[in-house]
Amino acid sequence: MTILFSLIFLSGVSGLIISRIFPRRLSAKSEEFIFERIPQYRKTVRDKAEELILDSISETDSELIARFYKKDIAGFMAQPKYFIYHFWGSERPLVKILRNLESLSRYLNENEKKYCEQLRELIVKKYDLDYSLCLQGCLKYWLFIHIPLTYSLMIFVVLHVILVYAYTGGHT
Amino acid sequence: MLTLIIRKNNKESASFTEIEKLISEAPLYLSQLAKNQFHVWNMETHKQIVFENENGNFFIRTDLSKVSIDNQKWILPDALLKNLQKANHEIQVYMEDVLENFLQNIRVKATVDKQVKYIEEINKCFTTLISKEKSLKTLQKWLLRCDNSDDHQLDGILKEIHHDIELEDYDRTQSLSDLSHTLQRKYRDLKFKKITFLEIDPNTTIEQSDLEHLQEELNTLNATNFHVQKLKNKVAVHFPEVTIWRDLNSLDQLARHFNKNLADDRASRTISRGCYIYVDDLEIEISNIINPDKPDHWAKPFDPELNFKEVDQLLDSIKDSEFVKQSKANYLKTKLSDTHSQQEKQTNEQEIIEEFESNLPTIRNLIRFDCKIRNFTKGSNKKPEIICRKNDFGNSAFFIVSGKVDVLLDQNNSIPEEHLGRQKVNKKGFFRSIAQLLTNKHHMNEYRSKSQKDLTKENHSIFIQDFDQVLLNKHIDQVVTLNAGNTFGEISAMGRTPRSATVIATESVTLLEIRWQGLRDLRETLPILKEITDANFRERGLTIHIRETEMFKGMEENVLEKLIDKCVFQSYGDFKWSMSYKDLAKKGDLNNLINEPIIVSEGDYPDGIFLIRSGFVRVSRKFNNGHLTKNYLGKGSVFGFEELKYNYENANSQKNHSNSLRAIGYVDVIFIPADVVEKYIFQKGKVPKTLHESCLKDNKLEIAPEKQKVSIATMKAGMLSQEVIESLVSSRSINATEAMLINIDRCTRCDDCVVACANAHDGNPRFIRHGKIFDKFMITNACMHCNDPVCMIGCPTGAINRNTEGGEVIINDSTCIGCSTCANSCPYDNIRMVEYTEQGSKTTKKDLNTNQALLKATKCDLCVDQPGGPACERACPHDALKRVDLSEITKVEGWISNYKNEAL
Repeated sequence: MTILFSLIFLSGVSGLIISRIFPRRLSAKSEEFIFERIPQYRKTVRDKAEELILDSISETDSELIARFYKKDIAGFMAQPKYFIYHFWGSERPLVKILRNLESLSRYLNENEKKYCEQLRELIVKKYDLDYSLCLQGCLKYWLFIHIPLTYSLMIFVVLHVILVYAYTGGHT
Repeated sequence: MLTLIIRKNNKESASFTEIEKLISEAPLYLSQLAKNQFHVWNMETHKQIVFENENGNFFIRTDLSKVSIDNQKWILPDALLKNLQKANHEIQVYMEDVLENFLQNIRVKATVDKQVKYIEEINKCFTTLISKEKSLKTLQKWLLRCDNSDDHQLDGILKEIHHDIELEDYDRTQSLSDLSHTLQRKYRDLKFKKITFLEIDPNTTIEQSDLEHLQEELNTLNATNFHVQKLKNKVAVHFPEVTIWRDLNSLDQLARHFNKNLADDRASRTISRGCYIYVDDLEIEISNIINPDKPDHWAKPFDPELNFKEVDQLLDSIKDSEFVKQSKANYLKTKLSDTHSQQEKQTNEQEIIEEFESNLPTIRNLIRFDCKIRNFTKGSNKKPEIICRKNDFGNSAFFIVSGKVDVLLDQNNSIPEEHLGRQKVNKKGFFRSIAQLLTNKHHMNEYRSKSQKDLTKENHSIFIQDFDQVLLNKHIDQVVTLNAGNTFGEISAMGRTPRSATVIATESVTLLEIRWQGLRDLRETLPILKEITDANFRERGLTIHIRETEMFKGMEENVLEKLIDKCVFQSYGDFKWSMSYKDLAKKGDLNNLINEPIIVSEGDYPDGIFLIRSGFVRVSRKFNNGHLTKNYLGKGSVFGFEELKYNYENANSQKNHSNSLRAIGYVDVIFIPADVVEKYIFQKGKVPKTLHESCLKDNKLEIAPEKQKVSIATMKAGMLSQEVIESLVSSRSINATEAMLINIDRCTRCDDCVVACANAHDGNPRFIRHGKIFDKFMITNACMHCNDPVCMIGCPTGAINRNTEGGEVIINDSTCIGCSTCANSCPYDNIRMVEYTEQGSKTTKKDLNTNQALLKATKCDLCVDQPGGPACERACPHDALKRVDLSEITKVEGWISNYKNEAL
């Protein structure tokens, strides 16, 4: 019961802290996303990126951006990533991806750079989506830890009281 | 893989030499293809082309993911075709081949990798994609993902394909809805269209001569602009406008002609399945019950008991009344004012009368369906019956048929509420509120009970309580008597504003109550009525507003009348402003003030003051190359007072208007000339303190903003940041009386508000927690219960109306026909069209004719029947959500200051 109580206390305090801090961090972003629709937004971003890549191949006669996309970005676009980084508000992965993209732009002509710029915008948007998903997910799901623990504690307390009375011994 | 099948025309096997030749030439052909129709990824990829010879057919395969096609119709370049024709080859390129090949590719891959379980699933998914006519580009994208994917990724891809199918379905619904909205908007001017289908017996053979006969028969009726069409076993008659059937014989003949089994009973005759003709003396109606579940315009008459006989009697009784004669004479006088010769006058007069009489059938129908004859009387206990009460929201106007009514002008709202018999909306009790959580139907779709209370019904009688005491205590400032032939209530009905006075019946009086959509149609049909109601609107609107203005209160009656004579009623902007606003919003041109009509320009000499009667105005000042919004003013505000006062007090140094005044949407203003203000206000020292202060506030920024050392980022208008005030005005959110504002710095996105809303409305939420963000506040997509609810303008059945008591804009589900007009009119996209299920049914309600889902409009009703008010507000655990009146800047400031105080 002590362990349960400690966990409840910790989850409660964590919940209180995140419910005070995370909304501000979310509102600091330029766009607001509905949690349930984030997968759809993510799909749209990914579709746009892939369309962009296909276009870039046909329009620029070069597959450099496509190769870069396939190697470094496709995985990032496919699913939510960098949960821990988002939780702590770090932009390190984004900086890394964008730095790679910037390095790539050295080898691109003006036409390719336009595609590169568009891809950069989509990457930032995807990162923002993951950020929202992480923060909103935390705000939503911390209760799924806190409440079951609370109910468990209550049940244990009742059981404990019953057991205490059951084993009081009666007449000695 | 893209497959080009090259088959020999003579069905003989291709010789090895021929194949070799084609192989050697193939890259050339493909490069030509690339130039003309196909965009090949890279010429190097030709290496990947596989040539196969199979049963005499010659295959060229290439990687589909590296090919994109502009059109689905594939045309091969002439050079290749010529070459192939020379070689006596036929070329076939099919989309199906491509997909089949692609599926084959997947199958092979899956088999090789022993992932047999995927084969069927993948095939099923792609077959679905094919059946949904997905573009080749979509398939290419999937190919791109499949390319080089390992087993684990293949699993993911499968899931995503499933997801894609579902999402595409969702998108498709959205686009259909958008299409529907676009069509509705495109044809919004044809909102009075009534289409009647006249079905005939399926066993009857329809000949061309029958159609011609029908057309002739219809010509003899007073029907105009109809179109007869043969549709399999039925004849459809489309009537673009509502028509009255007057000629019994012709219709009877028509009915006999098309149905040999017509019964002799004249009370109710069946023409065919689903369509009835009702015959009642000289009244004939065709009631179309092809789709009985979808209410039509006039499906629910305002007074179901009113019949055409009574309507004709009513029209006869008022035809010869003094009022009609006088109105007719006035109208003719105005119309004929430009004509000089006597002969010309007579001709024109005849034309006008003919025009008037040609509209009679429509008027007759409008009265039949949109009017109600109401009799009011003094109660047995000698208490006068209340017809309408001040501050109630009215959805109808009244025409006095006989008798007279008293209008109680009560400027200070001093008649006690209990004397007016006000009743509160029946809220759900505590236990019922708890019970609703258990009884809510958790349908996926919107739920509507089969019969709902008609909220527009107002048949109950209310008598004014203790009338003598009301008069004795001088609650009433003035009593105006209106006699037969007069109208009242049209200002409230058409202007979507509360009633400005209480009207009572001190003797027996017969009134024709016209619901607002009927009044709107009548005004369009009868120009004379339009002119009369417009004149009343201006005259009474002006009089009542002046009387209720603080600075004129307590003024002697004769002085007030002189003052009213000199005031001018002016209107600015478009009455139906929502459409132009939406167009501007689409173009992103909302910040361009050029679209807002100027009432006063900055720098003009002040020649009077402006009282805002209804609508909103923007107070702005030039700033660099744009305009800086300083304030917005709504009903009851005054503009220009301070400048006028300054000029009056300082004869040697005159001051011009320091700000511009622009109409936002549609605005009614009353202009009071400077000499009147000086004579009746300044000279008598009647400057009200409150007014003085508010004017000072409006003009406190005397230094031009560009000369101030402030940046836009830190600039403030009162307590609000400049960004907030500009955004509120540009988005016209200032129209809101109950905007749902969420402090996004506090909101944890828990959606408890949405859940609470769903719980209060049969499991379906009435808003989306999403919307525009200003500073740290979000105005969500929930109905704002606007001051000027433009959504009500086009509703053909009046289903969307204001609650009489609180003025909440609500939708009466039983009369909503799902036409989407309100949803299209709402400038803020806060009304949604939804499919619905009925009690006892698990499937959505569908149109019997087209098998398409029926729609109904849904929106926030401010939990009008819930105890404690809006559930969303009460559910918010972080106190982040509030329903705020944005129409007054002080109220917004008040709400924001509350947060700031709490933060401190």
